[in-house]
Amino acid sequence: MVERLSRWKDEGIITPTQVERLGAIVRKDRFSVSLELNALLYLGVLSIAAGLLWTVRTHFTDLGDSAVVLALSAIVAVCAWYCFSRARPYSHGEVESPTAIFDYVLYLGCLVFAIELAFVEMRFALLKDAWDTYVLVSAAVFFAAAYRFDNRFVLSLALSTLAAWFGIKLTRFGFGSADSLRASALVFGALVAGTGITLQRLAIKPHFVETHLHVAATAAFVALTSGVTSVNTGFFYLIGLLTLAAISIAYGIRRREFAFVAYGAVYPYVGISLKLVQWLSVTTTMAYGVVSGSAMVIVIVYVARRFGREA
Amino acid sequence: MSLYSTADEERIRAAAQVRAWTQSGLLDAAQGASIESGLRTELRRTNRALRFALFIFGTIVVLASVGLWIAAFNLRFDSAVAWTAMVAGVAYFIVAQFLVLKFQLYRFGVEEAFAVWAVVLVGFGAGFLVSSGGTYGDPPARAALVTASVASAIVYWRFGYPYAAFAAVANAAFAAFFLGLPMMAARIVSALIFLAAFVVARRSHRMHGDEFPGDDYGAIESIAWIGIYGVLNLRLSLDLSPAIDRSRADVPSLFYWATYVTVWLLPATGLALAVRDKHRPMLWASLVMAMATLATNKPYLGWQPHTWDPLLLGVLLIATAMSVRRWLSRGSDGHRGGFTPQPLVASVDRQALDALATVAVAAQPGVARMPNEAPAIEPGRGGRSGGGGGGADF
Repeated sequence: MVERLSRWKDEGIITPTQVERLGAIVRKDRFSVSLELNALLYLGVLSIAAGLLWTVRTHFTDLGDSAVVLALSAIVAVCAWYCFSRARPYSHGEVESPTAIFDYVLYLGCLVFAIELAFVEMRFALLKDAWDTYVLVSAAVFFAAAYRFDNRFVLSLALSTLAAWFGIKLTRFGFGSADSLRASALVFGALVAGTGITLQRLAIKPHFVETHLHVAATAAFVALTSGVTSVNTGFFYLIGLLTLAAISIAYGIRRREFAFVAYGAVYPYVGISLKLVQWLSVTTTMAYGVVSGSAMVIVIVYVARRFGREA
Repeated sequence: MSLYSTADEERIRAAAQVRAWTQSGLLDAAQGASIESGLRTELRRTNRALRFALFIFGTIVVLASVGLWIAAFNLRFDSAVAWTAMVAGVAYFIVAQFLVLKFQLYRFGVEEAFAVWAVVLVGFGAGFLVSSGGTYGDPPARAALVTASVASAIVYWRFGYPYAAFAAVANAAFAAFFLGLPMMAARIVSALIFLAAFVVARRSHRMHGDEFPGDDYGAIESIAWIGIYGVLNLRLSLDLSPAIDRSRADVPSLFYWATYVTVWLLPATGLALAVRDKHRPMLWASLVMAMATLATNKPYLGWQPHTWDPLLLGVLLIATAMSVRRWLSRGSDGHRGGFTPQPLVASVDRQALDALATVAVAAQPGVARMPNEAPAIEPGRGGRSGGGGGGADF
C-alpha cells in the first residue's frame, strides 16, 4: 500500500501532505485505539446498569426503598448534570459529542432512570392501573434525550421501550402470537417509520431515519410473516406482507440501502413458503425448496448486478 | 491454489481502504473515484445485505436438494444417507468453484453457501458413515471433525474465506476431545493444536506483514490464541458445557491451578504482542480474553459471586478506557508510541458504532418487557413492571 501511495503521488492524484498522513496510517506509525476504547465504555455502561439492576432486585428489602431511590436518583442527577453542562447547542443536524464519555454518560443516565422508574412502580404502584404510562413516559424521555443530545444508543433504547409499550416482546415473538399482538407490532412499525420519515423531511436529525426504518421494518415484517399461517386472516397478512415487501424493495433500491431489499426478499419468501408447505408432501416440499430457492438466487443476483454492485 | 489472484485480492483490499479514507475526508471524492477506478477488478461483487440474502437462499437450495434426493429415492439406510451427504458436499464444492470460475463471483453469498455447506455435508457424511458401520462413541464425532477440518482447509485454500480457516483450526482442535483421552489430556492436546495453528499463522503473518495474505494470517493467529484460551479456561466450559466436562473433580488440582494462571497470562501476553506489533485482531482477542478472565475469576477461586460484581466490572472497564485515553492524549502530539485515542479513519469507527447502536435495540439491560396480561398491582408489594424500560419485576 505504501508503494501505491507513492505511485498515486507521482501520478499527481494525491498531494505529498496526504501521502504523509495516509502513509502514517498504512505503516502504523499512527494506530488508533478509538474503537476499542469506545467498546470498553459501552460494555462498561451495560455492565454497570446490569449490576445495579441485579443488586436492586436482590437487595431492595435490605437496602430500604429510600436508599435505593436516593442512590438511583443521585446517579441520574449526576448524569443529567454532566450532559446538560457539557452539551453543545442543539442543532437539527449531526452534532459531535463534546467529550469522549459524553454519549456513555447519557446512556448510563437513561438506563438508570429506567431502572428507577421500574423500581418506583413496583414498590409504590403510584399509577395503579395506568402503570404502563411509566413505559410510555420513559420512551418519551429517551426520545427527547436522543434527539437533544444526538445519541443513537439512547435512540435505540427509546425504540425498544416504545416497543415494550406496544406489547412487543421481541425475544418471545413467535409464530403462535395472537392477532392483537401482531396488530400492535404493525401500529408500532407504522408509527416509528412515520416519525422517522417525517422528521427526516423536516430535516430534524435526518441521520436517525435509518435506525427508525430498520426497527419498524423488522417489527412489521415479523408480525406479517407470523400471521400468514393464521386460519382466518392469513390471506390478509399475506397481502400485507407482499405490499410491504414491494415498498421495502423499492425504497432499498432507490436509497441504495440494500438491507431493505434483503428484508423484502427473505420475509415474503418465508411467509409464502410457510403457507404453501402446509399442503405439500415432504418430497414436493423439498422440490419446492430447490426450485424456489434457485429462483430467488437468480432474482437477487439480477438485483445485485443491476443495482447493488458496490461491495 | 486460490481461485483468486493475489493482485485482485490486493486491489480489493486497497479499494476498501481508499473508500474508507474518502468517507473519512482524508481524500476528496474526485481523488477517491480516480484511485478506485484504477483498482477495479473483473471480479463480481455485491454489498453485504444482498450477500447475506444470497447465502440464505443458497443454503435453502443445498438443504432442499439433499432432502429431495433422500426423499425421492426413499433412502432408509444410514450408509446411503451418509454417502448422499458426502457426494452432495463434493458436488456443491465443485459447483461453487464453477460459479467463481465462470461468473467471477467474489464473496457473492451464493457460492459461499455452497462451499460452506459442502464442508458441513462432507463432515456430517463422514461421521454418519462411521456410525452406520456400527461404531458408536467417539469415532463418528472424530471422523466428522477431522473431515470437516480438512474440508474447511481446502475451502480456505481455494476461496480464501478466513472463517473457513477458523473452522479448520477449531474442528481439528475439538477432535482432540474425541480421542478417548482423559479430559485433562484432551484439553492439552486441543490447546497444542491451537498453539500449532497460532505459530504457523504468526510466522506467515510476520512474513507477509499486514497486506494480503498477511491480514488473513493475522486474524487466524488471533483466533487460534482465543482457542487456546477457550479450551484452557475450565470455568468457561465447566459452567457452560456440562456435556464436555462435568465438574472440577474431573481434573487434577495441579492442572486446575495451572489453567488459572494460564488464563491470566494468555490475555496479558496477547496484549503485549498486540501492542508491540500494533496488531488489531490480537488486540480485540486480548480484550475479549481479559474480560472472560475477569468474569470467571470468582468461579475459578470458588468465591461467592455478588450482585454488584458486574457493577464493579463496569467501573473497571470505564476507568481503564478513560485512563488509557487520557494517558495517550497527554503524549506528544496526542499519541504515545504511535497509539492515539483519536479516530484516524473516522468512517470505520462511525460504521462500527452505528452498527452497535442498531444492534443495541435488542440488547438493553433491564429493558421493559410488558406482560400481555393486565398487571396485578398490590401497593407496596409491586405489580408487574415495565416502567421506564426497567425490569418486569424485582
